[in-house]
Amino acid sequence: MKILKIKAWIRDNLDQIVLSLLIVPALALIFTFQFIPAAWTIWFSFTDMALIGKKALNWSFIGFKNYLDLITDVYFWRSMNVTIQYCAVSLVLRFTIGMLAALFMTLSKVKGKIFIAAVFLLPSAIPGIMHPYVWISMLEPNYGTLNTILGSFGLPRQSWTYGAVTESLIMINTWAGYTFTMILMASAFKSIPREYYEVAEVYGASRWQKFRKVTFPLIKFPLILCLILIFKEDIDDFTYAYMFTGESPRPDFKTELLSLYAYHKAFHYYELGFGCAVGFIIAIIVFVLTLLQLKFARL
Amino acid sequence: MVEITLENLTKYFDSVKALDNLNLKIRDKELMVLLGPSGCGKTTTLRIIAGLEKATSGHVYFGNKLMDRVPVRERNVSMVFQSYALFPHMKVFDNIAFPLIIAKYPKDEVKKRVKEIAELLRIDNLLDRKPHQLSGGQQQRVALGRALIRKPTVLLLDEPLANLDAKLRVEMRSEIKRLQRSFESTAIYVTHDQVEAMSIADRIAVLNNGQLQQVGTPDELYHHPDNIFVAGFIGTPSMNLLDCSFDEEKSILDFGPFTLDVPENIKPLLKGSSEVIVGIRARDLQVSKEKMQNSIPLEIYTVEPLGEETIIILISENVRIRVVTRLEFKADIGENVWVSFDLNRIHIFDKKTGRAIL
Amino acid sequence: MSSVLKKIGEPSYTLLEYVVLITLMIYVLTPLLWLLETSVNTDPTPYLSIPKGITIDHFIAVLTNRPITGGYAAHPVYMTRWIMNSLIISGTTVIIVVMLAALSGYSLSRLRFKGKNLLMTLILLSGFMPRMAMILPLFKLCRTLGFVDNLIGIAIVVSSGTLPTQIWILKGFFDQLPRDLEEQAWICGCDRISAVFRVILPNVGPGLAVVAFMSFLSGWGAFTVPLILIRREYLFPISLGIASVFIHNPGEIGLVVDYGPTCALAVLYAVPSIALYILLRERLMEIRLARLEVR
Repeated sequence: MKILKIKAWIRDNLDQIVLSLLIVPALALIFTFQFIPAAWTIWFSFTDMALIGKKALNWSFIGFKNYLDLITDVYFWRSMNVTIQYCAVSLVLRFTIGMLAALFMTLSKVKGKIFIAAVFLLPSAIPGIMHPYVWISMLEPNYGTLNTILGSFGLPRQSWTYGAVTESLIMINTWAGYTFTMILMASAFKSIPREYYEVAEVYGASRWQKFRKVTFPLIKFPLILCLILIFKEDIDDFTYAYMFTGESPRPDFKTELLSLYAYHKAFHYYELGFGCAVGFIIAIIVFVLTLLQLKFARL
Repeated sequence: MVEITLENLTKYFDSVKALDNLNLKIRDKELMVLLGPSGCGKTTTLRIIAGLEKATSGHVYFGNKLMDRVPVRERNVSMVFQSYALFPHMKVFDNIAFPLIIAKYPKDEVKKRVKEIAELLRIDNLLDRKPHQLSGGQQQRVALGRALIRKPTVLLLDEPLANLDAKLRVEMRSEIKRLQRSFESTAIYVTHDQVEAMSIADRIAVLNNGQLQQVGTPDELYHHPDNIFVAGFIGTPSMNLLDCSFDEEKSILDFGPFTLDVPENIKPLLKGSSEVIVGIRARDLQVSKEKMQNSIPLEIYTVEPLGEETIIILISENVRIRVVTRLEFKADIGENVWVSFDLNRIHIFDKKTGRAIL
Repeated sequence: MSSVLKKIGEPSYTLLEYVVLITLMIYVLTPLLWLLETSVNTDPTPYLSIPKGITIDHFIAVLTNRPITGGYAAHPVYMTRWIMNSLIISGTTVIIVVMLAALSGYSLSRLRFKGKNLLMTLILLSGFMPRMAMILPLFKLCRTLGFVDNLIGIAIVVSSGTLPTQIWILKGFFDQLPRDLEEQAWICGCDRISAVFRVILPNVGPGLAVVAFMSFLSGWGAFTVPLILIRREYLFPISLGIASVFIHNPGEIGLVVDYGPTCALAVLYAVPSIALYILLRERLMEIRLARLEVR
């Protein structure tokens, strides 16, 4: 009797059932490879688990101890400081340059937009691992491109910043990362109907007025979204920092971004639980940013 | 090829009632028009019949078969959407052939039938084009071809002519009627345009606010409207509906600025009612510069010459009356004229219920 | 006043525009000069120099797996293998992401249920944990599943990372598609699935192209996931391969590395991304992310 009822229900709702099943594979994949490891990480952050040694197997649940340690950890705050500098400056630079590039690709009246697009895309198209090398080849004081050019004009050579300091990371991250803004904002500019500008021109609006009264209101949401996404990406990724730093923190801590600190804590100092706690702090920041992103996700 | 019965259909969208207890029988091979203003529930009805929407309560029968749980694809209905919904990525041929291809007809048969129907609709020279290369009228024909190719039991048309220009609309509506006859499908045609409805329908069902107002032939609706809504909705220009009170003692209808004597044969019908609405079509009024029998004086408010005839709007205090005259009648705004009522052709409605008394 | 400003302003704007454009171009291109120069220089060095002679020998070296020196030791050379691996990873990623994002994006666009916005939000939030904090769990999980040293496994993990965004993008495209089309398909006798394949998908071509491009990039650029999951050098994707040729600390640049072929490989690596971007530029501008539905 019950089985018959279930069968009838399935028959009546077959279409909706099929429709719902279509999400399952994607959800399964996301769940397995995103949520499970993340949950695992969060769990670790409440334990005193170590990567090797006794505590690797005989670990115990220690509640919020890692988080309390973290608050009193001087290195954590130094790392936080570096991260804030890195993210704030990167945000401004990546956005400004990307925005300019997007304007040249869309609204500007310059010719050869496909060529411009291709050139502007180059930095993000070469492998990330090469980015620090191309910058060093440019800035190295003795043989670097810039000083070679200056020298050939008889100008004094400069000592450019190119070593393992926050400024280098920002410079490389900006150069390789503005394309993200460019792609997003170019798409936002393109979505503005041409008629709006024509109307504005009919009324004799100046360029600045056109930007302020037509363009800006229409790109406000993608713009905010873009800023949030940049910040999220910068706080999350530490490829360049890792390349300049290696497997252990540098004594001056100038390249020790928060995410890298989490990695070092877990894999250099073997304090896995502590590392995971730092990871979770970042996750919370990203979490909040994502919620903000949703609020503004009207591309 | 089937009779359709709608039984107590009710449909809610969230908490909004779109359809209120609709009962309607659509006869076999009939062309039924669902007519009403936008938001009246006519498209919802059509979509429930197609199976695209589930009724909150009530049933749909094709013949004796209960259709409530039959999926869209098994209903053997065809539908022409207002947007035509031609598949943009397919050529005209594939668009028309689509229902047959899905039903796995042999290739030769498909070719033969597409060719037949394309010739019938005079689009056989367009088969290699994509929909966006066609004009609105041509797209409309393709959509019709696709709807008719598998000889559907039920043909549903949702404002099929709304996106065409006026001239093409007139042309296509007679064509649709002719096609429907020759294919012997039961057809349901949704429109908000009462002229279109009158010209094409075997019968019309008038809907308003999700409620069925009246079902009948165009003639019946025009000459015997059941209520004020139908009276006001059907006919161009729309019927004059005048507020008045019935004075039983004096046996007159009092419009305010003027009164009319009530003929003996109507009197018994009006017994007991005091507030009524008198309806009279603009064509049933006579206007003249001289006083006539049963006539009242009014001032001309506007004059709208339409070529064959002229519509004159007359005014007296707060009463406005529309009159259709022949073109020969020349008059100017502000002039005073006499209008006579043909009392045999007036309609009287109860003001409270809106139902027709006469 | 404003008209005077306009008269003076207009021509100088154009000039200003070109000045800014050229400055930007210099900024973008100067660091790359070394890369391009070294990939064709007969005598490659770690710094920019005027080539003594131009050659395509380095590219040939890459494509013929000529031995290369670099890093800590002379490397066994798997350059063509690396290119193949990168292609396998990104190809598989494209297939997985396009298929799954299309199905689930469609489903999310058409289903109506309570908590749908919550589910959409959860999907987007799924990437909130930094990859590096998840290294150990991810490695353990993948070892259990046999994804270590497994290119398809890498592609699956990479896909799971890019899927959320792609689902959102495709849902946006599905939302824009008129409902009439699929309803017409059902009326013509299609069931849910065949309507999707015969009518819906062919009409979201631009959306599919965008998602294919973006998932290709995420596979092509994948670095962290292969770094965690690949041990054997012949299974490296290009990104990891190049990293293995250079030694770890860029500060100590100048050690013996075969810069010519390495830079040539980097140039080759850039080609597909740029070509695809130029090809799909107009399509990419059509991206509209889905919105949460207000009901």
